[in-house]
Amino acid sequence: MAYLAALKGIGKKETDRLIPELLERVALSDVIHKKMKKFSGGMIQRVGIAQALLNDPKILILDEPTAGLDPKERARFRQLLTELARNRLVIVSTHIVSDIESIANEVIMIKNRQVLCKDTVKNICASLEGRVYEASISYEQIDSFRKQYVVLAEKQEGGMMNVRFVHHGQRDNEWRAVAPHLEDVFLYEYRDERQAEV
Amino acid sequence: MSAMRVIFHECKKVFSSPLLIALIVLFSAFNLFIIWNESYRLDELKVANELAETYGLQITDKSLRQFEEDVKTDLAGLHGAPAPVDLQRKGMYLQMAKSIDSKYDEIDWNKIGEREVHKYKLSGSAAEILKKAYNKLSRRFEEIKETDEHKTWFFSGKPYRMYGFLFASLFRPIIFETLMLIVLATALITNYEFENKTCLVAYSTRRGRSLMKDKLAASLLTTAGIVTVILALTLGVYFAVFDYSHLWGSAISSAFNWEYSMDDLPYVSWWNLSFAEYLLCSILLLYVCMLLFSAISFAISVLVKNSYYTFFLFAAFFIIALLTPGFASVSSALIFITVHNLSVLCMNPHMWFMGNGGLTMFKNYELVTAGVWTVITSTLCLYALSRFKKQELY
Repeated sequence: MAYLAALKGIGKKETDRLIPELLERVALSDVIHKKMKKFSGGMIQRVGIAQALLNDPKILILDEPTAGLDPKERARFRQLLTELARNRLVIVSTHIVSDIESIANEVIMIKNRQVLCKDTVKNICASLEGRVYEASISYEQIDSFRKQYVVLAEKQEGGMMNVRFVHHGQRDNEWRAVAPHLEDVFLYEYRDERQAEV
Repeated sequence: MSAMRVIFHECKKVFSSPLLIALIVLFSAFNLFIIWNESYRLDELKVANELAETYGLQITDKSLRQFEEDVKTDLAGLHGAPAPVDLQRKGMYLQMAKSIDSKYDEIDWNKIGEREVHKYKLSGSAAEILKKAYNKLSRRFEEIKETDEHKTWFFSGKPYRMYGFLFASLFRPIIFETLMLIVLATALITNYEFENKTCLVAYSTRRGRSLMKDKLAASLLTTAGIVTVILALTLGVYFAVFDYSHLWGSAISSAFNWEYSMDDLPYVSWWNLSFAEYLLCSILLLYVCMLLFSAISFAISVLVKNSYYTFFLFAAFFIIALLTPGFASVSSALIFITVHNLSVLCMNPHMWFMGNGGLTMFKNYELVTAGVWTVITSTLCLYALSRFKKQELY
């Protein structure tokens, strides 16, 4: 931290004041004298945030900050990002949609270097309102189901497959309409890439 | 101020590396073992200091006569009993002192020059250059004889070889130890961010690519630190074990500084230097050489961005430089140009500033080599830095 502060041109007095403050903020004060090679992945990510905050940037850009972290660390990160966003612009690039769904003021979805949409989570989800369903089908039906509809998730339940999917046409009586999540929109928009992989 | 803090942090990377600390300890222990191994001669070496203390450092006709009388008096007091070891040693020193003039009159540096020309199979301009140099040395030798510069007490060279022990047997390991340490240290500092994959963080800060200049400064500072530690430990113990208390002012070209060698010649320095001055000059030259080696390692490191490759490329450079004179034509001045390299300079620290050095016996050999390589190394570093500024970091 002291090294990076020197590289950023921060004076010694300021550095000595900032380091304990920032480490407190990212909940690493009690390991200040521990070697970084003994840190977990989440702790290293938090050090990364702390060093990025040394010069109090007005814009903070984070690239996949929660990749590889366990749920507890990811929850801690979401809390930290919310705090950081109080007086600065925080831009997070991620594929883990659930991390930002609950905290992002605005989401920009990019596909093939093109901006697909740029809106609040609520408005983005509204694009699939009334189009997302869940149904229970047999294992034998699953392949044809996948060909017919855009399947978002599959789960085994009591000998049957519970599928979550998108359909724009007429609804079957046995289907249950569900509220769309941001991940549903993401998976729907990237359906052609997923099909290409299959 | 922030540059100083950056340099401090860079140096800290080296001095908190367990490997480098372990190597420093290991090398120091090895050097101390070399000293301990020779410490059995402590008793024998006292005589030289006693003579300098009793009769003065300079050997004059008067002091020599006084010394002879004292030895005769001591012998007479034995009444035919065998002389104690100390008196025998004094007798040896007396005989050596009395034979200085005759032994020095037998030395003809011009003939020795001819012999060296045959020995290295030189011809043409190469032979002429070497003969001229020996002619110059001959004049320096005459100057030594005229001023009695060589008539100072010192440890007897032939039985004890104290000069060779210090400046060859100790200095050479020090050179190679510090060389290994500084190449590792310089590579560590320079490649740290690339090897720990933090280069995109470090080089995108306000300091940016100027950080590499700080790393050069840190490498040089660390080099000076490593040399100081190794030298201080080794020479500190050496001079604590071997007493030089009355010999610091002795001329390095003392007639007693005549050790057995193939050529059986005394050490003849180009300048009138005392032992203390010669030691200081050798230490300064050692610092200069190590700083230049550090800068060369730095340039290699910046270009290859890998510590292992840096080490091996440096080793290859050192060995190639050492072998290059062997491929030069023995009939042209090129052979003398090729010996002006840091590897050859460091191989024989006991020949520094001396006229005894074979193909490196020239008066300003050390200064010219250091000067030329300072220019070459500075150019290399500037090139490496300017290339780094435009390079992709990955």
